[in-house]
Amino acid sequence: MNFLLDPAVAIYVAAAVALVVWLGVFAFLWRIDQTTRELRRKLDEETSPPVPTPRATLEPRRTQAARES
Amino acid sequence: MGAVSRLAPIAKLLLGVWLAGVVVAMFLVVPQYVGLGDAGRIIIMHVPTAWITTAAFTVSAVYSALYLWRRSPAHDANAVAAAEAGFLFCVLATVTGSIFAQIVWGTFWNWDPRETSILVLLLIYAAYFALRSAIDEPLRRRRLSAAYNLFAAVTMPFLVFVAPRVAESSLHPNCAFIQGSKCEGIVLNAGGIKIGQLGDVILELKGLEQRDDFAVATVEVRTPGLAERITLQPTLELASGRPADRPEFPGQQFLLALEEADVATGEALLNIEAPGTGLLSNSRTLWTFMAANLGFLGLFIWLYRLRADVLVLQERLAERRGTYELPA
Repeated sequence: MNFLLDPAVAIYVAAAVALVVWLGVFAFLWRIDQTTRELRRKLDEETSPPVPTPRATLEPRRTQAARES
Repeated sequence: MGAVSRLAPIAKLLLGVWLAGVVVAMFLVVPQYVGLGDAGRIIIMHVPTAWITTAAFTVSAVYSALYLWRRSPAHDANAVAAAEAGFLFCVLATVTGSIFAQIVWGTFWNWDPRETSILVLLLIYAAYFALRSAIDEPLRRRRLSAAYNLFAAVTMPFLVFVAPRVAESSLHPNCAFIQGSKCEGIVLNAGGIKIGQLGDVILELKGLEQRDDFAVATVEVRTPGLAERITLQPTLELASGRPADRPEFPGQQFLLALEEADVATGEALLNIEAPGTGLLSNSRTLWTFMAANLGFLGLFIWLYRLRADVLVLQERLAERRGTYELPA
């Protein structure tokens, strides 16, 4: 492992470590971002107002003959 | 789905690639700085994080003011999120600064005015979060913390920009970016006022003489606590008026320069050359530095918007849970 600390190599090792750390942070943020977006979509769907339905009732029409009988 | 929503993931991916490029450039494109070696690269991280800190706390204060005006919970969420992101960037600036201090000054923490002021800033915003967590009632918590946040924001420019520059003694290389802040050096006279202070060191001008084409100052340097006492002899080329020999301060990478000299009157202008001074005169360093500023700004916007979204969602979930728990 000592070759990693060699002055000619150390700068590349440091760059690689910093890059891996950033990619890890980025992946973590990306995952939270996607989860948040999904959760918000579900909550929006749940809390969206219900579609209004007609409140009329159907009744058989009483004809003149039926009223007389 | 709006155009902004469609473009947001692409912008975030671009930001990831952009900052990855900055990280690579910081190590492989930015050249070593004379006197600092590889340690100079930390400036690419340290300064942008410090600048984003001030931007974040300003954004937080604006949202707090908006909350006090309109009483919208979303504004409060944005204020908290921006303050949290600012706090994170402030910690990053402090840590990277401490690493720089260890390499250049030989200690992680020196109670330098810059270090002390950033610590006070961190404590002020830590108190903001403590205040929020101490109040259970949401409306009161939002109102009080918004008012506190405005006061905290007032102290921020003073602590970041003013205090470290008016302090008599600072080792922080302000001259790298802003000329004139404690960069003018001190004038000593071998026959008059001969003792002065530059950074943390005390200088005593023992003599000023001409040797051939050079003015030579004999300066006794005492480090803090008189731990070390050494005599340095910076020189000035009289024909060109430029400093020639710049001896190094004991145990530090700072150089002592004789910038002006009047051998007849014994008057000398002595200055400290801190590592980092003139760092951005290299174009590769400058462009990487600018790219880092842009990248960190994008990262801050993403972070605080995401955190504000999470806070709003938390509140909506809590409200829903409360509704479901109501007796039938």
